[in-house]
Amino acid sequence: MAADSRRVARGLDGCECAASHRLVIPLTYKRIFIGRNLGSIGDLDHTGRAAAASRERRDAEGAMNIFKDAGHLFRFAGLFVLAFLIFLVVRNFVVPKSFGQYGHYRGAAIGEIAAHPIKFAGHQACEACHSDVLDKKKTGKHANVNCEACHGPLASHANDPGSVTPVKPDTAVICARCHTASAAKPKKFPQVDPAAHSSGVPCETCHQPHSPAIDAGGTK
Amino acid sequence: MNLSRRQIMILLPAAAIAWKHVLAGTPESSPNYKMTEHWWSMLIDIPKCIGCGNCVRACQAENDVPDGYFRTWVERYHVTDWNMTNPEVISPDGGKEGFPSTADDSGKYFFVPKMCNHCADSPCTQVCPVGATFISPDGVVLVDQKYCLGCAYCVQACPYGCRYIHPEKRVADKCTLCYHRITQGLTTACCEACPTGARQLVDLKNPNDPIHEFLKTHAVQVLKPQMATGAKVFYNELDGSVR
Repeated sequence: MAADSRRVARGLDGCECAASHRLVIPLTYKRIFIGRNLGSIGDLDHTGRAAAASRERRDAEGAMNIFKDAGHLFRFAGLFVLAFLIFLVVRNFVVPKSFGQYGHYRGAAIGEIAAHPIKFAGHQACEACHSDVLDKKKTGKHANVNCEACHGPLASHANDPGSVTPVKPDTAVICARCHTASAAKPKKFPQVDPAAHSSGVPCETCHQPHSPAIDAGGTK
Repeated sequence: MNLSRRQIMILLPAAAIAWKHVLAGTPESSPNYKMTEHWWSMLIDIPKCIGCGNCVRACQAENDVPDGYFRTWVERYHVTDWNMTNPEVISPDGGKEGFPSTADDSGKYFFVPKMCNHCADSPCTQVCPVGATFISPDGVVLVDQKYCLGCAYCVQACPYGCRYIHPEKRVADKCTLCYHRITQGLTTACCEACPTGARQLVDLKNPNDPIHEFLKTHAVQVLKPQMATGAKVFYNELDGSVR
């Protein structure tokens, strides 16, 4: 370690090529500060005389030299403008028309999603024709149960009552879905163990589904 | 007609801008429905839910949701009194065909219907790299399936697990809050099919909507409020163990 540092120190102090160092360093500085107008490196010497002469030459030729080789710059700028125009044209075709109408998305998508066909007609549509069932339902516990909660999606029937006839739901399945006893259901909700409650007798034998309470004249 | 190169250079951008206006056309008008007059959300009344799975079936029928995928589903929580932070949660087939019997009588059981929260500051729309999912002006988070790449960033970003990649379309799919129904004055399919009124469509911009009184007088929460998603599905009497 000590030997290394001693060798380095000797190299800096007593370098045998010290003279060439003195020549090289000023030349480098000249090339940096005086720049391209110096011409070839051969013009240089460490006195700087050639550099001074070159500077005078440059002053004499004046500002005309700045634009002498600018043609390729204009061609480059032209290419740039052309590329930008092509980008604008392509963008017009690629970006959907309604993009950005409401935000950073295709505005027309909202209308497309809204155009999805309806499967559940809604209880208002049912009640428009089946007012008798509505009257019966109003008297019972199922007053607020919508028709399609049990009867399933029937927009097809609502749109074309003549040709689409709904299938009568199976009470053994439909009633049990809601009324099978479970600790997870609200305590006030009427719940039974279907097997123990009816021993396989269909629910509608005793309960009329549209007005299920037996004492409310619900029996058929 | 002789045009100099200079004239062409000036005319081209002008023509491009004019063509853009031709392509844009007139914005679509919907005479009966004004998007700016609504801000949709939903109220889920936990004490009313009986776990019948009607909402799940109705959603699948209404929106052609493929089997095994869910835009809404029902979870059954079982919380024992000594294990509040680690409830047992089941959702067999999304609760579509009901739930197994509650064998263990200890602790409490309850149902939690889940769906897209239609967040006002939704993480899923923020991560979309192409602008295929967005919050509509009436507050519904929608997916433009023609524009979606199927990269599934949004599926990962949703803290509620409400999105999936459609197995056939290979694009993101999710609850649209039955946008095709609510824009026609109907309620959603899940609300239509719910027998107990546990789910209710809410329009926060409608001053006559009962939600305003409900929110004032009930213990209402949203899921994962700490994530600051601006979730808009309000849960009444939500248990603290629900994640």
